[in-house]
This record gives sequence, structure tokens and C-alpha cells, in this order.
Amino acid sequence: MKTLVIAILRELLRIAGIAVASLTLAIAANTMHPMNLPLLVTKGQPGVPNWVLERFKEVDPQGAMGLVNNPEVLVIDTRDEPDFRKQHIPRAVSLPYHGFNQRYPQFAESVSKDKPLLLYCYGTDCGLAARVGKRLITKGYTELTILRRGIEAWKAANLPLETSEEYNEN
Amino acid sequence: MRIKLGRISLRSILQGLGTSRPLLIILRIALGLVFIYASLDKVVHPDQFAEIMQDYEILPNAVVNLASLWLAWLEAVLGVCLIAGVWVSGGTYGYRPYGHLYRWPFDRLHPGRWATLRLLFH
Repeated sequence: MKTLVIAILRELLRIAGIAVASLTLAIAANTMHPMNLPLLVTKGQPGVPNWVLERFKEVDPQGAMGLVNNPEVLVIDTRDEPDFRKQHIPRAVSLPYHGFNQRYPQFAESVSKDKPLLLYCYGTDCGLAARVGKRLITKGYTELTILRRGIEAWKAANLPLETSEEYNEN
Repeated sequence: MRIKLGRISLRSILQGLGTSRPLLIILRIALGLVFIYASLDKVVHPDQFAEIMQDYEILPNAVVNLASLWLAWLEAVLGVCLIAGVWVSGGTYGYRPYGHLYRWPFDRLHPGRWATLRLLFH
């Protein structure tokens, strides 16, 4: 009985040892990692570090309208492609979060790194624009603006929308 | 259920394999490699792993970063432990201190019957 208790205690000690060792390694590696994620997410969203958030500009729909009317700015829709085809902000191009790696090489060929970009996604709690923005920043893009509350806010402000020509209800 | 092949039962064969030291080492190292391979992408891209974890909506967003970092490294450390054979528990009872604690039910059930098998596999 006594040996059994000792054996169980040894197992628990091992589990604790492995947990502590991996946590220590994780925190140490994170401080050296270029992403350097905050351990506790207090602003923004998981997976997007603060230094990336600081490099985003944010606009409301009215501010975004000014950018949409500026031909220098490229408008990027980060939602899934069927939603893009159904309805999107005028002049927007589709660069969805789901499928980013497949789409990015073509995007990089046609868009220069210093081009001002306006990104938007679905709306409340939607992090797709920040996720795509983070990838674009790590690829070297510098001028990123995110439409706060996404296309939901755009619709609420009764601003114009566009439908892709090839879209049909079926 | 018991399948008998002459004097050797399926159970005795499985138990024999379970105490085979070379086989256990090979399987242990293979499992360790699987763990390390699975952890590589998470260790290199912790931010993308955090995004995936957020999409599961199991944890509150505040702790997702910490959990994703921890889990990736836990996987890597467990893989290293399995390959190195340190802090290994459970299935490796055959050659560990306190091994008798894990092994005794089988010994009691079939005393002697697979003693010969154990000789073959050890």
C-alpha cells in the first residue's frame, strides 16, 4: 500500500514536472519569437500581437468611404468568397482569410508593398481583417487600415454595395 | 473472449508483445516522433495556432494565447521525453522501478504460462 502511494505520487510529480517545464519553455520561446504574443489577451484578439495592432489604422464607415473613393487605396474583402460575390464594398477585391496561402502569391504579384490597403470583414467580433492584416504586415505591407465593425457597420450606415457580375442566386 | 492456438492464447501473445522490450522502444520512439512532428508547426507559428484555437470557442479569448503556446511546447516536450525515455510512465511498466505494481494482474492470472514467451521477447 505504501509503495503504491509512493508510485502514484511519483507519477503526479512527473506530470507536474512536464507541465512546468513546457510552460517555462513556451514563455521563454515566446519572448524570442518574432511574433511575441501577449500571454494574456487584453485588447484585440488571440493570435494578433500588440505590435501588429499598433500598426493598423482604424476607420468608421464614413472614413472608409473617403478611402473607397480614393483610387490610390486598394479595398480588400477578407470574408469567404461566396459572401464576397454576393455583396461587397465597391472596388473591393477578394483576399479571403480561408485560402489566404493559395491566393497570396497572385496578390503579391499585382500589389506593391507600399500600396495603402483598406481591409474589412463580417462585423461584430470578426477578426478576419486583423488576421489577414497580420499576414500582410509580416509579408512587408505597411499601409493598413481596418474598417471597424466590418461590412455590418457599412450596411448600417446605408452606404453603397456591389454584387459581382458572375453572381446568381443559385 | 479467448482464442486458443494450441497452448498459446491470443492474450498470451499480446501480453508477450506488451513486455517485449525492443518492440516497446521502437513504438515509444515512433510515438515520440509523431508528437514532435505534430508540434513543429505550432511551435514555429504560435500565432496561427492561437487563431485555430480561438475558432474552437472552448476557451475565453483572454487565455487563448497562453494555452496555444503551452500546448505546442507540451507536445514537443512529451515527444522528447518519449524518445529519450525519461519521465515515461504507463505502458512501459516492463522495465521500470515499481514495475511489479503494473504487471502483477497478468502474472497472477497466468503464472508461468507466458514465462517462456517472455524469455523469447525480452
